[in-house]
Amino acid sequence: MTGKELIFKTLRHEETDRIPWIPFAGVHAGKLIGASAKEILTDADKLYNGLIEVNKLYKPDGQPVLFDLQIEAEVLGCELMWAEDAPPAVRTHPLSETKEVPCTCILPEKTDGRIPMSLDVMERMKETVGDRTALYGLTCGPFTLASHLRGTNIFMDMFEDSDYVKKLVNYANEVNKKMAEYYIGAGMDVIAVVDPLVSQISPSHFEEFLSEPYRDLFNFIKEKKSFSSFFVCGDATRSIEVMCKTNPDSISIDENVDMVAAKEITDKYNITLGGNIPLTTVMLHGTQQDNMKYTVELIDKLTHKNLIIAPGCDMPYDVPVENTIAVQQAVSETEKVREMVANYEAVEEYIDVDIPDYDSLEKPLIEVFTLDSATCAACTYMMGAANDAKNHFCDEIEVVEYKFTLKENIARVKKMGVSNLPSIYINGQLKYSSIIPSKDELFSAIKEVM
Amino acid sequence: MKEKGKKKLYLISGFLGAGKTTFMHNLIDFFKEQKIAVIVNEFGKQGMDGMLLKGDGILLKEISNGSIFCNCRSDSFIDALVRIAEYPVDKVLVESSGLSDPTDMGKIMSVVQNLTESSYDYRGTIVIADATNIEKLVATAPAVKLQIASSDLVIINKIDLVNEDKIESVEKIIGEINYLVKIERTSFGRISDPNWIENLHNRNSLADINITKKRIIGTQKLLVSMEGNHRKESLENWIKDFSDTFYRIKGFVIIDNKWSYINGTSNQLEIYESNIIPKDSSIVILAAGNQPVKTKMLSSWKKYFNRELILL
Repeated sequence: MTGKELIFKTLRHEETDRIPWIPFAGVHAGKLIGASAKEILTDADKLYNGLIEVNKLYKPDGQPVLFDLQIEAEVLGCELMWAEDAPPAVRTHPLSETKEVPCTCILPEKTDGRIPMSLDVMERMKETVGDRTALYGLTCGPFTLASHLRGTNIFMDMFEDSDYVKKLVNYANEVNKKMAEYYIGAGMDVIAVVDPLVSQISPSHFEEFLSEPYRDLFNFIKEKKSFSSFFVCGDATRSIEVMCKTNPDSISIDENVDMVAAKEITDKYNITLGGNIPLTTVMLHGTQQDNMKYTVELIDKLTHKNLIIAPGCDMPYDVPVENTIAVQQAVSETEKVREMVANYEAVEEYIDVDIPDYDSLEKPLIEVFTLDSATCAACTYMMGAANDAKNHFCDEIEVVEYKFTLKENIARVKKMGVSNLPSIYINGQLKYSSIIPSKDELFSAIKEVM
Repeated sequence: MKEKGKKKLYLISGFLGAGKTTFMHNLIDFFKEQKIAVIVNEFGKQGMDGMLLKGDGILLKEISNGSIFCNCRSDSFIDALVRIAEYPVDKVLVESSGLSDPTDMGKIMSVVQNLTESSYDYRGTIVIADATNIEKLVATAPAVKLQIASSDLVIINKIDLVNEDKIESVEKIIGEINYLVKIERTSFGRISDPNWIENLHNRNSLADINITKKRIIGTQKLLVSMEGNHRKESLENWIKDFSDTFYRIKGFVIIDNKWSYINGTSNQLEIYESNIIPKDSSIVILAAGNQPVKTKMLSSWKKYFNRELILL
C-alpha cells in the first residue's frame, strides 16, 4: 500500500495497518537544498527541488506543497515582511481603517501573486510523486485571512460590529473556496484550511462567526471529491468540539493541545486527528533520541484509528534533518525504535534566567510569550495587540516579547510556568492565555496597574 | 466591418489626481472636428469628473460605484459600448477610475467586438502619470503598476513641477514595469504632438510584461460637508495637515462667497474659482484602506473650524 492510499484510508476513517506520517516541511524544505525561506516561497524550481528532497529524505505518506498562509493576503493587498529563515509576516492590513467588505467579484485569480507558482509546483509534484504521496494544498482559513485584511481591529469588531465580521469572514470564505478549487484542479488530494487564529477566540465566537462558513467550505471541498483538513495552532482545546461539528475529514493540532483529550472528542465525531510533535522543544532543540522517544510515547498514548502523526505546524527552518528522520522512523518502525530508546533519559540543559522583581517595577511590564510573532499568525496578532498598547501608552509601559525559538526563552517559559503560547502577562500575572484581547480590554487591564 | 468604418476607441487611465480629466478635455479638443462619445468611470457615487466634462456637446455616459473592469460593473461598461456602437460617433473615449486595474480591457473588448460585429477599432490605453508622485505610488498603490503594465502610451504629466533628473528616474521606473510602452512628457495634460494619438497602437497583450498581479481592495471614501462660507487659508492648512494620508481630494466649496473647486493629491493642492454651481458644498477624499485619514482629519479640523466636522 502506498502512503497515499494509507492517507486516503485514514481520511475515510477505515482501519489501517500502520499510522500515516506527514512532515510539515514548509520553509524547512529550503534548508534541505541550501535555499532561504524567501527563495523557497517565491521560486518554483527551488520549491519543487526542496519538496522532492523532503519526499526522498522523510518518506512522507502525505506532504504539503506550499506552506505559506500569506499567499491570499498578499494578492489582496497586504504588504509582507520577508525573513530568511521563516515564512513572511503580514505587515499592513488593507482594511485596517475602513469597514469595507470586499465585493465577492474580487477574488484571487489563477494569474495573481504567487498563485501561478504554487499551481505550477503542485502540478509538477503531482506528476512526480502524486501516485505514492497524498498531496496537501493549504489555504489561509477564513478567520486568519479576515484578520490579515482587517488587522487587530477585528477583535474589537467581534464585540462591537458582529455583522461586519460575519460579512468579512464570509468574503474570506469565498476566497478559500476559490483557492480550494484551483488547488484541487492542480491535483491536490487534500485541502488543508489553516486557521491558526481560531485558537484565539472563544467557542461561542467560533459558533457565531465561523461554524456556518466552515460547514459550507468543507461541503464545497467534499462536493469537489477532495478530502478536507482543518489545521489550527495554539491552544484550541476548548474549540475542538465546535470544529468537529463543521464536518472536516480531519483536524490537525499543535503541542498546545493535549492530543489524548482532543482525540477522545474527534473519535466521537469519527474525524481523523493529526499532530502534534512539538516544533521547538523537541524537533528544533531536541536530539534524535528525544524525537524518537516523544513520538513512540505519543503513539502509545493514542488509539490508532483516525490518527496521523505530524509536527504541530510548519516545521522551523533549522530543524535538524536527523530529528525529522527520527520521527519518521518512530512512526514506521515503532517497535524497533521503542527498543532503541528504552533506556534513553533526556538530559535537560539548564539555563538560568532572571525573573523580574514584579513588586518593584517602575512602570507596567507587558510580557508576551510567543512561539514567534514573525512566523505564527496567532502570535503575530497577540503581539500586535501588545504593540497597539505600546503605541497608545508610549513610554508609560514596557512591552517585551519572548520567542520560544530561543533556548533561554524556553527556560523562562518553564520558570514562569507559562502553559500556553501565545500568552500575555502583565506585571508577572497571566492575563490572556491563547485569547487575543480587544484594544479596550487590554488597555483597561493595563490602566488597572498604572 | 471594415477598419475604416469602425469607431476608434481610446482608454484613458492613470492614478487619482494624475490629470486624467484635464487630459480628457485636451483630447476632446484634439478631436473637435469629429463626433465623440465619452464614458467616465468614477469610484464613488458622486460624478464630479462627469460634471466637469458636461457641456462640451458630447455624448456622455457615467458609470459610478466601482471600476468598469470589475466583474460586478463590467456589464454596465459592455452595455454602454454596445449602445454607443449604434450611435453615429467617430471616436469613443473612456476615462477609467483612478483606482482601477485595466488589465482585463482585452477580455472586455473581445466580448464587445462579438456583440457589435466588431464595431470598434481599439487604439490602446493611455496612462497619465504624475511626475511628482508616481515613484511613491508605484511602491504603495497596486493599481499604479497594473495601469502602467497594461498601457500602450504613458504620458508623464506635470513635468513643469520637477527637474530633468526626476523625469529620467520616472521614465526608468515606467520602463522597468513595461519595457514595451511608449513614454512621452507633458504639462497641464497637453497633447504636444498629434502623433502621440495618431500613432497609438494597442499591443493587446500583457504576456510580455512580468508583473505580479494583485486584487485591489480597501479604499476609504470620505465625504465631508463643507456648508457655509470658508477662508481659503484655513482650508489649505487643514488639508495640508492630513495630506500624507490620502491619495486624492476634490470638491466644491464656497470661499469668500464664491464657488470654488478644490483639487488635490497628497503633494499638490489647487483651489480656484468655479463657474459650475453644484447642488451641495462638499469634498470627497479617497485614501488607502490602511491610512488613519479620519483620525488625522478630525484632529486637525478643530484647529481651523468652529463647528463639528460632518461626514456625509
